[in-house]
Amino acid sequence: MTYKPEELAADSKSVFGFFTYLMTDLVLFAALFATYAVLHSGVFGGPESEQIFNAPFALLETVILLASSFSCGMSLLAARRGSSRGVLTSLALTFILGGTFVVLELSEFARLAANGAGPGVSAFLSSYFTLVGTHGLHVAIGLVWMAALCVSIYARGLTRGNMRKLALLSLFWHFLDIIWIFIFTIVYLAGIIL
Amino acid sequence: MTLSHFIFGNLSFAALPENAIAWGGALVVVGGVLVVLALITFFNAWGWIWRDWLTSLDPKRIGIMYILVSVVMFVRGLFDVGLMRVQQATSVGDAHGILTATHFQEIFSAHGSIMIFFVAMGFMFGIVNLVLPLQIGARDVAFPFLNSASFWLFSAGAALINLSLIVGDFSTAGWLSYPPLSELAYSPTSGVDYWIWSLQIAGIGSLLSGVNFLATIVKMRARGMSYMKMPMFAWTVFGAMVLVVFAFPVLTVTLALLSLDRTLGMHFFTAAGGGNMMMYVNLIWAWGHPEVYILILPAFGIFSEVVATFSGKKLAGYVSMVYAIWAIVFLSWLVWLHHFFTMGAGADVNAFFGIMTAVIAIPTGVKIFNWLFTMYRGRIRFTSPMLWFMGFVVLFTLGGVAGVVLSEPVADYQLHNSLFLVAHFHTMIVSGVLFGYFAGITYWFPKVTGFHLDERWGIRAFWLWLVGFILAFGPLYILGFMGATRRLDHYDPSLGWQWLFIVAAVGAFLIMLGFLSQIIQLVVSIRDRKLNPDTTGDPWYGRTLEWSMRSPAPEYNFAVLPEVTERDEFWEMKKAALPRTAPAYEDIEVPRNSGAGILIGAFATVIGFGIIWHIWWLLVVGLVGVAACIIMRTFDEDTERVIPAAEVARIENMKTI
Amino acid sequence: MNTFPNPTPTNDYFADIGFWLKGTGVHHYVIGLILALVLTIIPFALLEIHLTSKHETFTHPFLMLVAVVCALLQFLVQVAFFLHLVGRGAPRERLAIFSGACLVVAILVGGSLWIMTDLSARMTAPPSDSQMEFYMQDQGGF
Repeated sequence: MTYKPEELAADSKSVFGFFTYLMTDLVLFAALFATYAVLHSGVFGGPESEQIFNAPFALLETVILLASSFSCGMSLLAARRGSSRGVLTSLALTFILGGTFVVLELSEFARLAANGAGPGVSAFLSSYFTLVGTHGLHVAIGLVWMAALCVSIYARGLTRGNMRKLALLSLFWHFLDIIWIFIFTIVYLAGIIL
Repeated sequence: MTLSHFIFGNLSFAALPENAIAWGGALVVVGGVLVVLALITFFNAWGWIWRDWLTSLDPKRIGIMYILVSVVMFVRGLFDVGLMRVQQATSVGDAHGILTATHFQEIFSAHGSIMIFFVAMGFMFGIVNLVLPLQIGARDVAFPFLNSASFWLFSAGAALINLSLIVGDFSTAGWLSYPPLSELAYSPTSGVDYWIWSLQIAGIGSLLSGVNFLATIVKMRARGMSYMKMPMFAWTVFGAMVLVVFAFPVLTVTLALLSLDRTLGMHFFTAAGGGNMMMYVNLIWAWGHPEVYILILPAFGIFSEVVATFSGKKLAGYVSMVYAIWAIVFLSWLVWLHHFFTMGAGADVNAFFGIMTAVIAIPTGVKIFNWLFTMYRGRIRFTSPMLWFMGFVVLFTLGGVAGVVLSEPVADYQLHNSLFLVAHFHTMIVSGVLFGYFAGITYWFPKVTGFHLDERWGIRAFWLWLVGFILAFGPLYILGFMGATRRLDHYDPSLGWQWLFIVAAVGAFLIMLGFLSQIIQLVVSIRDRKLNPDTTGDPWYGRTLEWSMRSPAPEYNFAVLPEVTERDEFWEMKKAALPRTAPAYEDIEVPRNSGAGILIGAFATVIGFGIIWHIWWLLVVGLVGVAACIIMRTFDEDTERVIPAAEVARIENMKTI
Repeated sequence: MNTFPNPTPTNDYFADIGFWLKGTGVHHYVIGLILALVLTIIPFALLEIHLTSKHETFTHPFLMLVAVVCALLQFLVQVAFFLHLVGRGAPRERLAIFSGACLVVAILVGGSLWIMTDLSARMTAPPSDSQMEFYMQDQGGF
């Protein structure tokens, strides 16, 4: 497929605009990280980080998300080949991995809340649940977007609009894995080490 | 949970207004809405309003709507001023004025919130919508649908803050709602929640607008318009949008954390649970300081255009002006602690932020000198935009010097939260932001509507504003030195303050007459529009591209996209006096209208109302509604329509109105 | 301004819209994945060794330093190999706004930590008389 220069310029504009939005998200997470850094010692006599964080579990979540970021990249390569089947397969794999991540995270939240370590217990837990939960919410919204895009690709094929949306979704997905790097380092690893 | 509690949440008849003044406010809002709806129905104008305005994706229409909403909110903000000034002039000794202490607190909180978020930000985005695409030689903004959605989110926030007049109360914790006062324990009613959600929703609209205008400047400049050939107004908008994009997420987070404390019982800012209320103060001002630069930078840009045009000279020091903008953008991230010098930080922290605050005055000084150099040896025309500039240059400099006084932490220990501070920031916002936007509206009005604003009423408005401002805020500088703190609803007569408050009340009254003059100006101008038309499209003999097409600018802005080779391209085009050849017109694609924007705004209002009153099913309806609108929009492939070349030719050759 | 990098459309839509460089292939993603995995496993492995061994194998600051360095390196790896932000011909505008965002993040997080720890230090118990005297002389007062 070749596209007209003004179509490509319009899509280049969309990529820039969406990337700018991702930078606002970066600052949003920075504010949440700053809050976590300031409040993580506010345990108010309740559970502390090394009591509730589990390194193998965090490693599992990390590897799953990293794998999903890789499979997302594979979907772009499939799109360049013009293979909508390849795109749908990679996106399905990304969806499954991402969905597993969300389910694991929710189960951890539920376990903590049931064991007296819910978000309303202390400032530390409030900031933990909000930081990690906001990331998880972004992942969940990404999954909804992914599903809608798969429907669109299945119904209409690799149109220019779908190619563009795939590019934007992949930026979003990779960005979320980048944020997770800092979450597992600053929250889980630091929480256990320090 | 009983059925009625499920359906109505915390709503009850106790949420209706409590005193006569509050009932007055509620009835004005309800009455005003009903009158507008009745008028539209009477004139059978629903189709026109829906097609030409509410669902329009044309930034010129959206810009006018932003300004109209801001004017309406300005009425409410000024009414708050009247109430506050009467209170402070009369509530002395045994007298307690016209307001209870609680009501007074709600009013100053509402006044600040409305003026910043719904008047200043509204005017700013309105003017940018109207002017930016025209100035950079573009047909539209980067993302027209997002533009509409942003406007309707802004309106949703305005709707919520007006709903607080009818049902429930408002926050008593000032325009920034510091905890612990804003936490549930000390503000158990709906007030702070109204504050949170009207700002949060409007703030998301602002953030999306920031992304939109930034992409417009970076990606949609005319061919040949490198950055250093952009008009100065476009540069200031560039700097302001970078600030919006980086600062508003901090506001989003801070408001969200406060609402999590209040609604879900978390402990970010409560002492119980190990929270830290100073973290709120820290975060909110990390947003709050860039915010004031977001407001002032476009006003500086407007003055650059106005001064150059009405001095008949190119702007002095273009390159230094650009550097000054980026110095301001960078430095505005390094000063935020100056808003809370007195709240426990040590000498080294205070010293760093105090020095950076003094430093940030320097690039502004560069700009002021450049405007004066532009005027020097120019052929100056004292139109009302130039009058607004003259008022600005004197008052803003004085107010800025007061700011440098406050930047010194030791002095600030004496003056923090005094009326000296209140006078300082009002000087900056009124003489800087407001005068700038007034000048800009007057300057670009003919381009948008095709006729001039009445100059006589404009000049009357200027003098009323100028004299009114000096009388309203001069006494406040003095009162601040005399020890008067802000937000006082009552004081002792032995202090000898009353006469100063009376002078301030007179000044406020003059300002209101000034605003009334502006409304009369608008009405008179519309009535006399055939007598003051802009027949050439270039009524002021301007320098930049927005003057190169007929007035009012057609929907597509430029029939043929311009090619730029110089700064002040239009001025150079006129000097070269190239013969006008009829260009070859082509079909032009413009966005189709969309009702999804207004629906998103409506559902956002529903979301806010649902959370405020704990009506959870309503919240779900709102969330599903917004999600559905977004998803449906993304599946919509048919979003453009074509204006055929013949139609373009017809519009270009039309006589003006 | 015609600002996308490849004015002549090719068969790589993503390169034509400036999303990634021409010639981006599987190898980019594979290298990125491997590097990211390695940089993830190192801190976790060191932590596991430290927790399961009988004596203190590493100091806490050392573990933290390794974790932070690996995180920053993995950040750069993912930015380069997954987000395609660096490299010859990569879009300058996105890199510019990314750098701006990183700067703001650094100021926001760093500044907040500086301010809040300073405040927190001033809210601890008052110093003894001898400490107070030392502080007054050393710091020149409050």
